[in-house]
Amino acid sequence: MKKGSHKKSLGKLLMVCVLMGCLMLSTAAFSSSGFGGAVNLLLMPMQRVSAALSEQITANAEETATSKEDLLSENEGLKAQVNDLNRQLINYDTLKRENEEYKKYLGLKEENQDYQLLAAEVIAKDPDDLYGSITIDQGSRDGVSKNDPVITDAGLLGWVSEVFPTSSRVTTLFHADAKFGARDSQTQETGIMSCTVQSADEGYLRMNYLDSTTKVQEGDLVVTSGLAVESGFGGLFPRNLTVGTVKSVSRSESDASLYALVQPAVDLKNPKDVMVITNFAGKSAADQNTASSGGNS
Amino acid sequence: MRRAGALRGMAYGAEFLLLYLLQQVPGLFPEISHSLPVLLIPAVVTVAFFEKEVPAMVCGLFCGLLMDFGSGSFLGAKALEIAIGGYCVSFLASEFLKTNLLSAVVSTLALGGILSFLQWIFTAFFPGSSESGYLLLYHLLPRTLYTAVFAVPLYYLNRFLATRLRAPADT
Repeated sequence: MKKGSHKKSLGKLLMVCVLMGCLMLSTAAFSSSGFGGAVNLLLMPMQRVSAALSEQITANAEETATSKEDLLSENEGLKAQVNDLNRQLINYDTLKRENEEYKKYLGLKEENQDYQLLAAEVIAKDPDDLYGSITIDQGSRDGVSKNDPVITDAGLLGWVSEVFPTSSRVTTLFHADAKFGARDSQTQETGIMSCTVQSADEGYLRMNYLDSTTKVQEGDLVVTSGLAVESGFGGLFPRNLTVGTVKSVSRSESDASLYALVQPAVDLKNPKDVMVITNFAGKSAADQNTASSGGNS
Repeated sequence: MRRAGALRGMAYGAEFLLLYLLQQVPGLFPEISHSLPVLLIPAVVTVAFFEKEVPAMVCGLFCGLLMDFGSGSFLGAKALEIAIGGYCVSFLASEFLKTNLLSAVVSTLALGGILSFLQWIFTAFFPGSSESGYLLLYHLLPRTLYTAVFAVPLYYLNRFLATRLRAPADT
């Protein structure tokens, strides 16, 4: 290739560098949600379809792995189901599934009348994110706002960290920023939940700052305390959401306190159907608390 | 000639969009050492082997912007890195490297490694994370290796697209 041609293309590369630099500066100074929202609006339907297809493929793969007899009986059952479904409306399946999801949360809703729940489906997982944040198919148009707690029928999953019109990004409890108040439901002792990359890889959260005379023990249920944690997330989660069960109690590496390894109640790495708590008693106070402490990432 | 170029551009665009969606589908690829492959990196590298610097840079820019939108980080950061990466790979491929599968895999490893290193510098090392070494060794390195595996099918796919969708005068 000629030198002149290289010079020309180098000029274009420099131009792109300057443009991208300006874009980075503008998104650092202002919010990126305008750009991101527009692109998300375009990509969201495709993400939804690809996630649904993947689910279907996984289900089919599971089917082929079963025995012939099982397949035959399952086939009969499925034929009957198909005939049945054909008589229904086109969105019947979605409505049914949503209804079943809501049923799982009925107990939670009855216990907490103040909760406003919104069903959502996980449609994407960013492979470039070291902490495995996920994208759900509900956004600001559906009533989701930043920092809304996200749960499954098993317990707490994480919080909404970024909102677009039709989708939202959810940060899970395995993120390094996930610091929030928690309480042992048996002993009523409180601690601060956090996570390291290593403990996340092993599938555990840490309940820190337990007293050296702690009575917390293996098998205890850990729930959110609703207490605020400076520089953390606490205060935004409503009280008594299940976090997990205590696996073991050990001495802290850095001080005299103890910490408990907590096995999350929710599959934090591969969640599928979730609920967003769009409103709960004390949410506005929690939001003010976050705003005054500068929020979280 | 222009028509063939536009067709190739559209084909690459569709390919990138499809790969972006695939890499984001939860549970589609198995996690290896807590890592998932980033399919757009081998896609850009393999396209760069068959295209000139500026088209390769544009491909990198497009893929980088897609990743930026998906990650919620600084808009333009990944776009800038991958655009420069695409440009450099194309330049090296035209001047120094042989266009073959081995070069494509090695280039993917190199670009993936540089991108992972940059991510490590800005998200773990500079912020002073106590687990920066662990992150590099157990997350970023496996991800780079996992990503490079996909250079094999994408090399053949992009070679097919580049040779089939090219006007005779271009070849």
